[in-house]
Amino acid sequence: MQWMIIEWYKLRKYTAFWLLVGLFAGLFLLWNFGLSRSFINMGSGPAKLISSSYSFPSVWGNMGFVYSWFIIFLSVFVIMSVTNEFSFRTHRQHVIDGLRRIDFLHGKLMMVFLLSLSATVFYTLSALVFGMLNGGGNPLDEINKVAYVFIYTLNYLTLSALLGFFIRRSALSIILLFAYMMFENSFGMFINWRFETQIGNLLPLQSSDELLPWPMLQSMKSMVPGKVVKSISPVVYFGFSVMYIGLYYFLMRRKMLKTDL
Amino acid sequence: MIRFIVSNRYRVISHISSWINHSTRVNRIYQKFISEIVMLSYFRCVMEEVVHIRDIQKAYTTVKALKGVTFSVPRGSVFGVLGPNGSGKTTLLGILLDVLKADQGSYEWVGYSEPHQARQQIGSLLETPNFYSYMSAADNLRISAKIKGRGEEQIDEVLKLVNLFERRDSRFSSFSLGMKQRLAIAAALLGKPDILVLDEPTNGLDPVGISEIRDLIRQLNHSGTTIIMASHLLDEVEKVCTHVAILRKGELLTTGSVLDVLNDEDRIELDAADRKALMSALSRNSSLKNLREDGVVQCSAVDGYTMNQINQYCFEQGIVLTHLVKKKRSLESKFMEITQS
Repeated sequence: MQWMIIEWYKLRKYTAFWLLVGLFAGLFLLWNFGLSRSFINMGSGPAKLISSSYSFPSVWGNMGFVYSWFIIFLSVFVIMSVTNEFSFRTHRQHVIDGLRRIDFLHGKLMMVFLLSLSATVFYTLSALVFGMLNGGGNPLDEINKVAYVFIYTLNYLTLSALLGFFIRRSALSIILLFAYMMFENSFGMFINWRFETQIGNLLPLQSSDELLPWPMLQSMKSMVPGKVVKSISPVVYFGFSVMYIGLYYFLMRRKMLKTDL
Repeated sequence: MIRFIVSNRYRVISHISSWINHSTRVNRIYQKFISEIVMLSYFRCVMEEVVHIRDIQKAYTTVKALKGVTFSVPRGSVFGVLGPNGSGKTTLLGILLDVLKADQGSYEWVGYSEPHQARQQIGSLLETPNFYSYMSAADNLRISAKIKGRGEEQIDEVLKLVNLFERRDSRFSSFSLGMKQRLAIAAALLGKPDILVLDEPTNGLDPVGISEIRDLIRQLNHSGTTIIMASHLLDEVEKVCTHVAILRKGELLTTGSVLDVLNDEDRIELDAADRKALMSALSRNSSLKNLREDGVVQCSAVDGYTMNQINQYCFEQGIVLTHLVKKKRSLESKFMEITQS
């Protein structure tokens, strides 16, 4: 509880926090509103790249996919929040003042956890509202997407925290995150293509990306003739995402406990 | 067992008191009583010091920053950790405050079973002031108070103490270096700590600020606060410290009370119209030694040989002194002698 209060003291006066969270929430809602009202179109008819179906249950998948684009704002915030401690050297000061090293790490990770939880609640409420406004279907169908969104967010934000803890500089960490996202995507696709498998989807970020896939992907796949590769179950992707989060925690814990601050 | 006694000292004392009150059972409890007295004596001995440092070693890649440093800091002292740049002062304090990990050796804050509990009760300023630049002075202190488990009601009090109360709502980024240093000292004073650890506390302060901080250190020490202070400003240390440890290249050269470390005799300066005769007369006096001429005649006297006796001796030898001054040996000269030998 004490860690959370300390983190809240830091956040409430931090302009970048409100700006990035505002951008995440505002753009997510605006984009979905535009798609649902067809103000935003990507392709048309059967070649429509993004579905404008916002009725249940497809609203969960559609909004989950759009959500996955805007998570980057929260990732940038987490990186800034962690690297701020190193640039202001307040991580040292907290330990000097009596915080245990592990408590400092747990404070940051608790912030990441609560941010992930809040973003998931925001997604859930938004999807419910959009689903109800656009009529039809059972809201509980594909409700498992809520859990996927949570683990997706936690995976991205914990990796961002890991980069912050290891790189310690915000600009470099953000650049590396973007570079890694692009690299991993290409590398995963290469492995899948080269070995005609889906093992490439089990890479750290891709394992979570696969939980919130492009909704039109399945229909597009069916249009492409050729060998069908057996797909991996979402449960496996979920498990791998959890495993990666555990790995990030282990690495951060080791770093915090063993090295000089 | 010892740790139990230290952390439960009041219970141990009251236990002994209650035994004494049951005097009819003296024979039966005699042996236990004696053993408790022995333990209490040990406890009192331990409690006379605030921290024990044992064989601390630390290396940065190939450079050995600390080479087996061992000493203890007496309770109620102003303990100066001295040394030239790169001698390991900040590294040592960093290890005591857990921001650096020692490769070998250990330390113990007496009376605390967990190091972080000790740090919560200790006021510390290590190297530069570390605060959030986008937050005000008061908000930054709120975080420090929360970590230390202190109430926020002391924030205004410590800000007044370091003359920053009027700027309590200003952002830290708008502060000058001296003001930042004052804020760090204010943070260290939160909760009226029994022990203060200060690394170069007068860094960035103007002469008035330096004097104020020096007075504050003296004042805190008089009220019972133990102060551990690293500094390369020997004049500063000499003015406030009661004890010192001198480090050079990670080695502890000497430690003890300032009087013990500077135990050398005072320097006496003399002069007369006939300096040759003066030198000759002084060389015949067995109570005077280290005689040399350096602008004036300099020497030192054995214990108990007073300035009056010197003056009288010279007069008896037919020499009228034109100059007779007793000069205290400075810490600087001793420091130079120790670190350069």
